[in-house]
Amino acid sequence: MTAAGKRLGQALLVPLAVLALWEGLSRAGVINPLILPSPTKVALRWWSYLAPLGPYAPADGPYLKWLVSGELLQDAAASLYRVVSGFAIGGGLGLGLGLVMGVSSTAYRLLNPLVQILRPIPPIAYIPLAILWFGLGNPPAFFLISLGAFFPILLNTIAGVRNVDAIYVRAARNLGAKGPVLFRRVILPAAAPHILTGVRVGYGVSFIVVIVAEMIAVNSGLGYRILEAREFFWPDKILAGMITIGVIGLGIDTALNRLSNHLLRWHRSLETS
Amino acid sequence: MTKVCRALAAGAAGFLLLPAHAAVSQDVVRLGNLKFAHYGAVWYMKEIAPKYNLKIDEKIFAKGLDIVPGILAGEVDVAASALDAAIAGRAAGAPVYVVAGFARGGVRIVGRADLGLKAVKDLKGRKVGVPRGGAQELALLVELQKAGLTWSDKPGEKDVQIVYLAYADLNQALLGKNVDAICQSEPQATQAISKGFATEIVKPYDTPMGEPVRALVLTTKLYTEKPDVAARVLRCFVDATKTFLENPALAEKYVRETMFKGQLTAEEYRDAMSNAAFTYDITVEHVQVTTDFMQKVGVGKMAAPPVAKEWVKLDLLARAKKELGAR
Amino acid sequence: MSATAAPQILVEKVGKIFRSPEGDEIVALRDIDLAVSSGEFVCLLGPSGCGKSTLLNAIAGFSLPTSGRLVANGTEVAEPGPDRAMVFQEYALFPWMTVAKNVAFGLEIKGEPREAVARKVDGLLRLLNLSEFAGRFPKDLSGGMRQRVAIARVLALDAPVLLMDEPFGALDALTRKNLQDEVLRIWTEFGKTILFVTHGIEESIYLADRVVVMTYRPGTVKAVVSVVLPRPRDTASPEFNALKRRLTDLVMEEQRRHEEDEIRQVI
Repeated sequence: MTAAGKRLGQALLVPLAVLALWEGLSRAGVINPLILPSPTKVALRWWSYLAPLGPYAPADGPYLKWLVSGELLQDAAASLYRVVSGFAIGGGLGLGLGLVMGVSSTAYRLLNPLVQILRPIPPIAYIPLAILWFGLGNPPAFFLISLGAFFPILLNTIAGVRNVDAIYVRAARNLGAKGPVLFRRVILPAAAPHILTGVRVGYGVSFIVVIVAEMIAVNSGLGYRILEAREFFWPDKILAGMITIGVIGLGIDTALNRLSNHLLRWHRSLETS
Repeated sequence: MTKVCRALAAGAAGFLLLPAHAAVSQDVVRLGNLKFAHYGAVWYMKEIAPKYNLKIDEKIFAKGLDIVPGILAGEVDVAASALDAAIAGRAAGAPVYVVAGFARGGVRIVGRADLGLKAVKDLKGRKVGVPRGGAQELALLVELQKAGLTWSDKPGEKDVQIVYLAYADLNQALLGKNVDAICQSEPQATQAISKGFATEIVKPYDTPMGEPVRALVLTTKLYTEKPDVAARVLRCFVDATKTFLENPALAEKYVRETMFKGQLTAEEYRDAMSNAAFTYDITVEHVQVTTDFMQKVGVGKMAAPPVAKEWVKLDLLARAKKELGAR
Repeated sequence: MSATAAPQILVEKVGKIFRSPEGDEIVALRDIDLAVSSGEFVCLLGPSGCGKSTLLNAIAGFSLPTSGRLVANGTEVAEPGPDRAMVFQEYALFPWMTVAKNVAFGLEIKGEPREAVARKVDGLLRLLNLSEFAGRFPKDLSGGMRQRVAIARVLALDAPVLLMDEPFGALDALTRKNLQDEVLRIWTEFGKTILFVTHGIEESIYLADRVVVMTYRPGTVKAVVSVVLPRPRDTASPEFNALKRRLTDLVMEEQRRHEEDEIRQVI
């Protein structure tokens, strides 16, 4: 058994044990299937959620299109579209404003009090207003998701810029760098570790918010499907949806992690085997 | 002599402690309820419950579907909701019996005032908001089917786009022009009209389904294990409804002041109650017809729809009505 | 120093006062007069707190004096610039750039074409024995290597004046010796004017044409000692050690004042 295989085995040990226990208790009738369906039921439901709705009919179009026509993939795509869009908006604004407030102490002094007042309000608290202000469909979802991404990125960007070690700025100025060049080639890269931390946190919040936002005013997406499953009393589908969200979230987070590690490969703290 | 005195003292003490004692002997019944004008009699039950040695522990939900998990978890003994929610809940395994029908009507399809929509067929090509799982959804879809229209929750696919919203968001969505029409409950439908942003399209009772009746359900546990408590609950219900029917002024005051805390004007109340009524009865036939229509239009997506005569038990209601002289 | 040639660096009655947040005044420098000729190697020597780094930072343009006049390379000092290139004790290499990119930085800022930059960088890396580390990041290098990169980076600018602020303070003795010789080699080859801050007495005698001993706060010029020994200097020779004794006495006086001041502050 290779070292990697052993590690994988160890990682899977507890989840498999939990699944086995869950399945066993379900079959023994100890767990009420209406409240917590068995893993096999959830797995079957997940599969039917993933698979295309009907058999392949060449008249409807190409095979590939049919293959991805399953409800789960459509929902995942819709949710991801909302997360990415909302994140881009909120993150872009947060990054831009963060750089301004980090560099300009006047901007910081003027805007920071407002930021500190708004920051503790979770995006979820804006839900009742979101429909009032943005109507139905994607716009209120974009609003809530971008709110979720905005503050972590803003605050981490400000911190990153303000905490750039003065010695780098001195060395750069000494070497002839000024103004925009100094900003682009020295301050921005030096602030990158902080900013990337903000990006990861912001993404995490966005992903949580999209699921909640999809329960109010849209008709597609993983959050919507979970709400629908709740209203049709399908706990197995609720669980299938939740697992999907977990897996997708994990996938994206891993990808972000890898990207971050690559961009920050020069950073001292990455010296681990 | 001292023995007698002591006995008297014990008796007096016992008498003084009677209220507490009486409270201990009250049976607690957990009621799941909704906040609509025509649910008023069920709301009123908790006020007169002590008369029947009951204490009603009421929990308010946003809609009938939301009560079902409470029932499944064993946290709710009695529920008042749309019949559709009860049927769907029963199909999903909720152990309940329908024991009475406490209201009928209470559904209205209203459209944006500026669009001048007059009939159901005018909804073609439009967006209609409705909560899922309530009396409104079934009534709306049956009307659409009657008018020969198709529907879908995805935009652009069929004649009408259905947008599922919470009750609290419907009026707002209409006001904000995010939907063109809504199928709403009372008194919210009346309020939309009186506030000027909606006009009535139809009261959807002109289909073979007729006027929807709201169901009072008991858990099978309460019905079979505590028949005495169940009987008292029904008596309390009949009493409350009778009071409301015989004393409309009291009903109005209670609904307007206690339920809606003054947010409902007298005119709005009356207009709402002209579209709904407090009742006692429900028939096995109505439950079966509703179940069949749900299957026909695809509400509830039930794999195994329940058979009405298996779970509609009207014996307690009949007894309570007889005892209280209600018709 | 020739009386007719203008000094490369001219420090005239320079003073520097810092104001603490509480409003106290700290007189870091007072009445400093110094003239450094072109091609000279001058060391600023003194205990901590004597203001030698403050003076260097003023000449570099990071923190201008509160009184007096500073002229370097023919112009009044107003801001930092590549004509007075600085090597820091903490190396100050840009960690997100490779060795090659660090060295190329100043040239890219100047706007030199890519091939010219690449050529110069190659040459400098070879000069300082860094060629095989061109693609590495600073975090992978030892202290000595990092300081070499810092020197290469600074040499790329071809600045007439090199300011060095205790550049070998964080290194071990052996590496320090190597780099001292390296600096001397570069100084001889390129004819730079070097102002070198240190608190190492031996180092100052080893390197400098003149050693400027500074007083403890407020910093003034206590003494200027010329070193006319031929290079490379023999640290065991009697002349070397005579200078060492003389400088040690001078520095120890100031060191004692520093310690007394610290004790006074504690009490």
